[in-house]
Amino acid sequence: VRRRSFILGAALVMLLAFPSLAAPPANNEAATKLNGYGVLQGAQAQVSKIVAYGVLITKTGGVVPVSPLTHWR
Amino acid sequence: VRRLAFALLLLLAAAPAHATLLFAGGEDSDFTLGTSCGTCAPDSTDTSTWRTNFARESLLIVRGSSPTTGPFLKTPAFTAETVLWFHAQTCNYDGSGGCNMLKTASNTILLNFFGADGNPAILIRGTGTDSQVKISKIDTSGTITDLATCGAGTYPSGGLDQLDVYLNYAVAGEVTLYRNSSQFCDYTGDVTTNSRTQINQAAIGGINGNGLSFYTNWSEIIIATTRTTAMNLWTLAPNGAGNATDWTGANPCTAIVNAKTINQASYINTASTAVINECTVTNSVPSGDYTPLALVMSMNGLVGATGPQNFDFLTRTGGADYASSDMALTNTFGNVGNYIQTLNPASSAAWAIGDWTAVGFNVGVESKP
Repeated sequence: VRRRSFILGAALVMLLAFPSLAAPPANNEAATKLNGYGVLQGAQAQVSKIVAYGVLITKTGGVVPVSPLTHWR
Repeated sequence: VRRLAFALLLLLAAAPAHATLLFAGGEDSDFTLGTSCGTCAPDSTDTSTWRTNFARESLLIVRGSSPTTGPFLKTPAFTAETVLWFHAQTCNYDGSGGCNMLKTASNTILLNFFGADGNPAILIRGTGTDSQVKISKIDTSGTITDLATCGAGTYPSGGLDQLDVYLNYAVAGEVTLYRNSSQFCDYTGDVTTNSRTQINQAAIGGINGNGLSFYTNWSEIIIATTRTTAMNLWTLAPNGAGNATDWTGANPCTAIVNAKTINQASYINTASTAVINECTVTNSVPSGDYTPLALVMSMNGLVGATGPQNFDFLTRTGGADYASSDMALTNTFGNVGNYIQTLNPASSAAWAIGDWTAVGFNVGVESKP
């Protein structure tokens, strides 16, 4: 009984120390997916660029030249 | 009665049509590449190829003649419309010294408007003659019919040209082209094929007839339901740390997300949700008298297999953060563009330029579950 308890205890210690031993390999693969640049992105959101624009209408004589008509020449 | 009628007439004449912005963008984060896009890249070195007071780069595209694969840069799908206007600053670029090239290659595609069914519908194409393009329609089987050949010597001019296109995609329809706000080409009649009635996407391409080392350059692309000839796209680029910079990354607003050209090896990151990164933006207003129509944002990013799966665009104005709805990202880098705000979310009133130049105005992102 002592020997069995020792083995079970040792196994428990190993699992606590190395939890990945208990994880299925397939999940490991998904959690450590590599992108094209070899960057570990498992749980990360990444942002490489942000840009904003202001759309401006040039006023003519202080008035916005938007006609009720959609088209004129 | 006459007075009343006159007053009503005056009111009608003074009331501007509601301008609906369908798309605005001018950088690589705003478009997707056509599958054969060998050379579709930002050019941030030759400042003669864009208006430096409005933009910080142009997009250069080598010539091509495939209506389905390009080379072209394609907008996201926008609200489908029958009548729309397209606007851009364009240039037939010699690759090193300016917008001086006139030659167009025959049947290469400058502009491609896609029907709401996803197939190309209207093409603006080169003719092989200097400074000349033509208006064509294309059916869903790929058969192209030329509708009008524009005058020789009209476009491209050999300089930086503002190109506007009016499109009424109807049986009693019309396509009109303007260079620097002056009409130079028009077709009236049936511009449709396959009983289609609406357009919901556009792609910009190249027509430079001088060879594959030469390009058509693009900047300030705007699509709207009202006349665009007086519109301008002012780039509000990140230029300093904003109210919160809680994503990981050194100098996130001045060395990472402010990139002119997407660099997927350089990014800010977070493994948690509800984390905010905000930046101040350029506040040197181009000289002139303007009224703002909208604030537009785009970004490039990805999510991991676990952790945050969405993000919100953030606008910080009047001391508070205003978030977009949740936007999804994929596990590889991709663009999310064309987030349009026509009103200041703090006041629900139209934007003022002073809102964007105010101390404390920020744009940014927040990670979401």
